[in-house]
Amino acid sequence: MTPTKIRIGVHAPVTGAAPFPESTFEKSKDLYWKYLAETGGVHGRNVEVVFRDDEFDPTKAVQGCRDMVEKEKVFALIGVAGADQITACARYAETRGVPYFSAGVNEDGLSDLNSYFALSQTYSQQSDTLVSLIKNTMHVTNIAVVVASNAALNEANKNFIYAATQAGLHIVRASRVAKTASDAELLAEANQLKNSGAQAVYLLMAPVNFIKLATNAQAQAYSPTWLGPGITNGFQIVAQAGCPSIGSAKFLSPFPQLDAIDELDPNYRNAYTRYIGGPADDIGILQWGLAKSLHQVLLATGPDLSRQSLLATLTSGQTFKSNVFPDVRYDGRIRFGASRMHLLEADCATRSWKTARRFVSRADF
Amino acid sequence: MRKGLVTSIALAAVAVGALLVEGPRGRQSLVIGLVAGSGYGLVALGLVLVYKSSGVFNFAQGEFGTIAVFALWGAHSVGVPYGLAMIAGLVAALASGLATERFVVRPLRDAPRVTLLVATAGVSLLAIGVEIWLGEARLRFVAPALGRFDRVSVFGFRVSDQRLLVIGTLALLAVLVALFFSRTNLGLGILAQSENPTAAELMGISAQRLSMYTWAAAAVLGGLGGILTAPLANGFGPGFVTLSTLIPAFTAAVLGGMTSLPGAFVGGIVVGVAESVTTSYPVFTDHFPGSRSVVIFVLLVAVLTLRPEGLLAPRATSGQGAL
Amino acid sequence: MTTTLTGRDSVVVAPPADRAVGRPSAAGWAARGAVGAALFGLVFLFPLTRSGVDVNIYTEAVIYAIIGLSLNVLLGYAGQISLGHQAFVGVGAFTSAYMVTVHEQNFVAAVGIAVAVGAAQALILGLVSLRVSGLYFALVSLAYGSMAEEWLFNISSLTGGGSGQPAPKPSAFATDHRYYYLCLAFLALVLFLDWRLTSTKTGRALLALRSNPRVAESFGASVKRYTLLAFVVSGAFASLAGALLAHNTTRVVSSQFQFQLALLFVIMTVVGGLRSRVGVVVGSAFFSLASYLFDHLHLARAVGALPFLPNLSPDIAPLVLGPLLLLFTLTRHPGGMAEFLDPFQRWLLGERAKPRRTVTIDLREPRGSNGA
Repeated sequence: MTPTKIRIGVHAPVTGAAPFPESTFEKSKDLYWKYLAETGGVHGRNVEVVFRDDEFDPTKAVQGCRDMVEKEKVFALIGVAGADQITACARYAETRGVPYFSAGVNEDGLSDLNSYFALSQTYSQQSDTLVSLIKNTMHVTNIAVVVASNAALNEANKNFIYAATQAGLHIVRASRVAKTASDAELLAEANQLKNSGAQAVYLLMAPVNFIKLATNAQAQAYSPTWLGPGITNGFQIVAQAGCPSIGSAKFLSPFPQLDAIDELDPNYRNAYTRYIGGPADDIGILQWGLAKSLHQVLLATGPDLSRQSLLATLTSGQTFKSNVFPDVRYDGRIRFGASRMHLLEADCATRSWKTARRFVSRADF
Repeated sequence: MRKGLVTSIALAAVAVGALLVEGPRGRQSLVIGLVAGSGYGLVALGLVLVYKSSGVFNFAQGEFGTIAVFALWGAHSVGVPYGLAMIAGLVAALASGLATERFVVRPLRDAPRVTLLVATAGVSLLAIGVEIWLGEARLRFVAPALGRFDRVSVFGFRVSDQRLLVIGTLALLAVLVALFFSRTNLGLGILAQSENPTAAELMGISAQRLSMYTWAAAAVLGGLGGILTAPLANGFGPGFVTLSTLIPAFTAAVLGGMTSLPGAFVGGIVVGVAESVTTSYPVFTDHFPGSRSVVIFVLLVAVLTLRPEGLLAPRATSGQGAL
Repeated sequence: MTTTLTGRDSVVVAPPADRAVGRPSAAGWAARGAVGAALFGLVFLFPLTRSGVDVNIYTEAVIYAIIGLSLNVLLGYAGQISLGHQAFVGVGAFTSAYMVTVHEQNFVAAVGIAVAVGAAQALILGLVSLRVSGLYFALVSLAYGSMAEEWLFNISSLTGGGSGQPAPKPSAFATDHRYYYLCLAFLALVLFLDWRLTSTKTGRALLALRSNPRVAESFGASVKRYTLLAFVVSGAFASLAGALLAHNTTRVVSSQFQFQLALLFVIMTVVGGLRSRVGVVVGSAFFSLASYLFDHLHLARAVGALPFLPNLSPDIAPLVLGPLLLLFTLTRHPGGMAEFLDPFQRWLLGERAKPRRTVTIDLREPRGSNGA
């Protein structure tokens, strides 16, 4: 970091088990900062972004983070998606005292860290909102819980089951599905869900398997309401590929979709057209939101910027508002500082996600 | 052989019977097994074809399928009608098969079988690498040839038209290829050539041409398998046929007997049913996440140690041994 | 041909004297010294000038060399095709990490246990291989590797789940640089053990297994015993490498051991040159460093200059070039890199012309010992 420049490291699953066009994450990695440079940056400093593909692999993620911290000397790190990769990098960043930010994922393995900050609700935190949604708006009592078998998701699984049971919902099926599930497994799972008679299914797994499961279910004339927490399930390509099977799926998301971004932050589209060109996409919104949230923190820290002052500002109890991502507030030891998310609903008529509700929490249902 | 065959049939009957009687879950597992296993059977068919003709374990069989799917997707996404796009896929597979034969198999014709195995593995890796390079490591989606899924229902489980197409194609091809080997001159020539190349050559059968035909046919079979099953997978990426079906397909081929074509069909179904049973019953899924790979490993080891020639092949195997 | 009778027990047959080998001249020695010094500098001194992140990559290359040697014992010496070798490595990695993290053992104990467990696991597979013939064993090993990746390495209590099991470096070798030298020491150990293995009677019997098991059997060598020995040694070396790998990345995850890795191991050993230690070491290191080299030598630009071919990134290049090299080696140059590395090694060690090939026929070996 110099008086005129701050360097930030970003890692994302460009290649690996995710259905994203390769260049997308990289294209919009520094869109926000480029736009910010027009107005003089943050207290006179411009932000430069260094990017690494973590290949959806925790070991590669750590290698990339090491590279960015030790060679590129980044000031802070951002993890875009992928619970295992985020956990691995965050733990590494902690050993170097590097502030690490990501959208909320799991809490296990991250809650004891000092320099990790989740910029949106974790999966567990979203359970309450989802349970409220099911109970009070959908008037459904029989639900199923299908979660990928990664150990990182154990806590989210347990949390949701607990919250649902407490609220009086009846869990007719709870299963875990392997990341590398085969055709037969996904057919059997869809069949079992149908036999269980669940009217809503809480789902936490990679988009690829979600789409297969939903398609298999629809082929069996079974169309529950799919819902869940998440980041990646809310991407447009999931709706494009998954419709009509995903039906009226509802997912919580840290970022609003294309239909709402213009009202929440009109600068996004302008910046996209100016610096990238072509129609704006929603992966850019995710990165815009992460960057903008970080910007609020940098702004609040003031011109006397160092890792210590940044951490002090973060834990001072202030609220940081980006109006894209939810507001966050970290008090003392709290590292999961968001209490609201956006609710996305699938609109299969247009094969897209719509932002049905903005910045909602349990109390809104 | 009789005794082994009878025991196997008896065991199978007991297993199937138990599933049928257990309840809707058991019956549906059977159907799911049949449906999913047909995909393995299609790939296994190609594996058996190559092995029967030349004693080679063709690790590239899966990639013939993936290449065909990429070609299908590519053609279809620029507006070519689906039927023609399928043909484009098969042509691409055919080309890869011929290229493999010309540049890899032919120079190594007299090499030990192990070398050929490694070489075909190299071909599949090369194909995957090129797919990642030219096609990007992401998922694409391809539409099925037949879109309806509400026509047929077995034991309460709906079987889509596309899946019926797969099962039907598998059955038809298994019969056709078996007849080819037992009734046609070309087929008999291939078998003769594989057992006794010198004698065959003396009789005017060109080993080179037969090799070309074999690999062309195997590649087209592989391509067909890929094209028909890709829409069911709801997303394909580089190496998708190899990664999802190669090991189960080999297990299926070994189960049925590497030289038996009906065996490939039956073997595929057995593997499919084993998989679906282990994922439908909590006794398995609770204690064994990833039980699918354990089941396949156990099946493979069991068959190879107890009845190495497979369930349906005759006990005596002459000519090309496994070495 | 001259024939010398050295006692009644053996016969030495040598080529004519006018093709005898001489010693290199002073200039020749100077050249050899310079090259030797350069190599020494490259391996031992160059890493001191690089950052920890880079040295980490070099250490991985050293570990891959050990893996290559382990596969060489199985594939090159004993002729057993193993397509699940990544499982051997993974078993070592997870065992060591588990011992250090869960049982709080020190590094040496953890690595030792890892080697023992790896050898035992390999022995079991070896027993299976005795019942299953050659090519079919390839399938079994493939299925085994797949099972390890999907089930064995995902048992959370043993393997730490999705984000893996931590595996910190030993305190005496906690920096990347020191750990690099530690791994070099282990590589030297493995090379020594491998050399001992092949230069003894046991080793020669092992080598005979591959080419002609029946003949080896007739010499009194128990094919079974030597095959199992090969598995045990291979498993031990591989799990040692796995343990070192775990502590190098300080974290082990099941996703590191996918079946494509097994194929990479086969490629690097075959392209390096089976049965040649120097070939396997160089080949393995080369493939491990492939992305790094591609990146640092800016080869992407060279490829990008080729018309109508999309950009070849450093991560993707090895995926295409590796298999190409394999196919090229198999069809045209079966000896692999060893074809020019072995002569180079001989040159470096002071031989000037083609070495005299002597054949020693040991007359004491019994023949036809089966019940005769």
